[in-house]
Amino acid sequence: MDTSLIVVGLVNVITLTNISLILGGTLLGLFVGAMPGLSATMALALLLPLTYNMDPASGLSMLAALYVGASYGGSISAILLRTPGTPSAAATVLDGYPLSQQGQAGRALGISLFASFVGGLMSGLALLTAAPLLGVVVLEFGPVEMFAIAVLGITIIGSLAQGSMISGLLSGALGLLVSTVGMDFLTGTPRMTFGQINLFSGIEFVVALIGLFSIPQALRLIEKSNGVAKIASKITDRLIPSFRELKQLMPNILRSGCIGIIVGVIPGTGGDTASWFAYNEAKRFAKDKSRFGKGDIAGVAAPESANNAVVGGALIPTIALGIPGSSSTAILLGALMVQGILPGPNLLTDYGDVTYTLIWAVIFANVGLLLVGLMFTKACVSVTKVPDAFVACTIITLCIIGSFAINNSIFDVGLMLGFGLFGYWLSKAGVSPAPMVIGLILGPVMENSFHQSMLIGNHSFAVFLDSPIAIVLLCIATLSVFQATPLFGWIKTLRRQRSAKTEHQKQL
Amino acid sequence: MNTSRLVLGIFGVGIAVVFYIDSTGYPDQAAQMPLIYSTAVVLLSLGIVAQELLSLRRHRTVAVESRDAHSNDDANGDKSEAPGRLLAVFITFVLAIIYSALINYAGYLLSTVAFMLAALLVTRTVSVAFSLVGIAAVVAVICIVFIAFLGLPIPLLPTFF
Repeated sequence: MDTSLIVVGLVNVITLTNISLILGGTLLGLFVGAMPGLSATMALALLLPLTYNMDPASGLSMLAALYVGASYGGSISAILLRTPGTPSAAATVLDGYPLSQQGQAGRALGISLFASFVGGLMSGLALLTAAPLLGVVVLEFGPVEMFAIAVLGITIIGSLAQGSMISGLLSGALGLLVSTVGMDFLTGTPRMTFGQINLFSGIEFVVALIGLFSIPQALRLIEKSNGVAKIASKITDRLIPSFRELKQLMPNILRSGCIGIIVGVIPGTGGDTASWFAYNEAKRFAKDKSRFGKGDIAGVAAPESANNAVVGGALIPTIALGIPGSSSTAILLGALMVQGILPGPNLLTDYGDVTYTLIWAVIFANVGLLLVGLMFTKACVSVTKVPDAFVACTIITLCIIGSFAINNSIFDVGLMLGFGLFGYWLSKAGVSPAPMVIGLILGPVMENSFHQSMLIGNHSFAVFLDSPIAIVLLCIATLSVFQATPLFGWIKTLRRQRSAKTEHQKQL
Repeated sequence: MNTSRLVLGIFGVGIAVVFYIDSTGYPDQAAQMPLIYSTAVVLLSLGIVAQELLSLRRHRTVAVESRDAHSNDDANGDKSEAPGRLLAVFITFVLAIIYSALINYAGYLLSTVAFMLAALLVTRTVSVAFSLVGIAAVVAVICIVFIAFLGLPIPLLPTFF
């Protein structure tokens, strides 16, 4: 482990500019997360163009802080409005809202904040410890292994995405297909440009990202806007929990944090999966399960610790392998790409200073979350009341200016709106856009590593069978694809019928 | 049955076929990955079409058996929304296209204010007072962040001035 890089990363973060950006990013994330209908991913996509003119350390620090802030911010409207601000706060509604109805909104928000802080800090420290260890392992990864990892990343993310597995895989495959638009780096052939010079350099990842995540969100907000004013519960009790209560909840918080880290490491799963998993485990370990769903504070602490712990967990495969663990980490990877830093195992070696800066930024963002949360949680209540239609128009305006800011080109704005319309269609079809975004990132990685592997193997596909690591990864990828087909279901039914027949014969 | 999914499947086949045909004209190395990806998209799109057609068949069988008069759309995304709200969505999107086309001619300030006012009038769920104050705040923040701070070369005022 290169300790000098760890120290460089720490020094990069603890400058006045970066600390201010971390606090600002956390506050912005808090407000965005608190607004129902907005997500951390969307906010990251909108803020990404802002980081172009910043140095990598500052840009990444702000984005990481926004991610952390939004992960907690979702609990504010979950507890006060009975509407999760972000998908990962859905489980918090179950016990958070009943607590606010019982006049304990402050208690619920305070525990949510402290649980988020502990979970996030745990994941930041896990990231700091695990990433360099994984970095040693991935030095064994050559082009063959990188191709296999990219294939695995796409298939797992596609199969675990929301909606049916086949939808997720289609979304990922579409992303891979779209990633081939532009000049082929090997032969210089313009592919699928249809004579359009603006497409020669390919489709800008950020343009697609803003279009696929933000525009559909805005259109959905307009669709469900109905002019009815949102009524939030008032915060009448204190926010800061007692030490005794925190101590009682700590085993639950620590367990949920571990769940969040592990779930975050698995590509394709995110805060929503982790929060429900942690909630179920908290209920399982509770002495009095009957209180869950009626205002048990453990039912607030568990999902909030888990959904913040996902942040660091999802960054582990992102940093170690260059495979985004979630759509939000895909954007953080995009932020690195925008700064000219290509994703891959070399993030920890060639760009170690920037990578460790990101890791330290996550840790400091969680500390910032505690301070910012204590000061501004009550102020977020007013933000939750902004009408949906106004939020939608603001998002569209930000999308247009944000996509223009990339290359100062109206073509990018048009492309962004096109992706936005497609993303809205995907949402109507129940298909997640996250695998498509990840396909856009992994497409060039897959293509480059494929061509390099073919060169190594003398244009023989057998090169992928020469590496045990690649064989294992490709087998797992094949299995996850087969799960999407009816074949698996038929095999399971046949086995069940056979075992039922055998049981029946034994009884006779 | 989710009509959007069915049409998406057909669209996927179409786009993959276009990419496939276009790729056959490239040198071998340039064509390799687009051909592989197009094939994958075709297979998965056909899978989605098959899934939707099977679910339609299953629905019809269940409806006949239980004499169910209701036909619910599939839960996955295609919830039938009031036509009025879908029209508002469509108009807002068209307004967004017009807004982006107008920026270079009418200037950023005028086109942004016009777009937001028009879109909020279409949705009719926000009061005029809130709209005006909110629009002023949003435009001010964007001008400070993107134009003053980032130095974005976007015309603020109409170019015919």
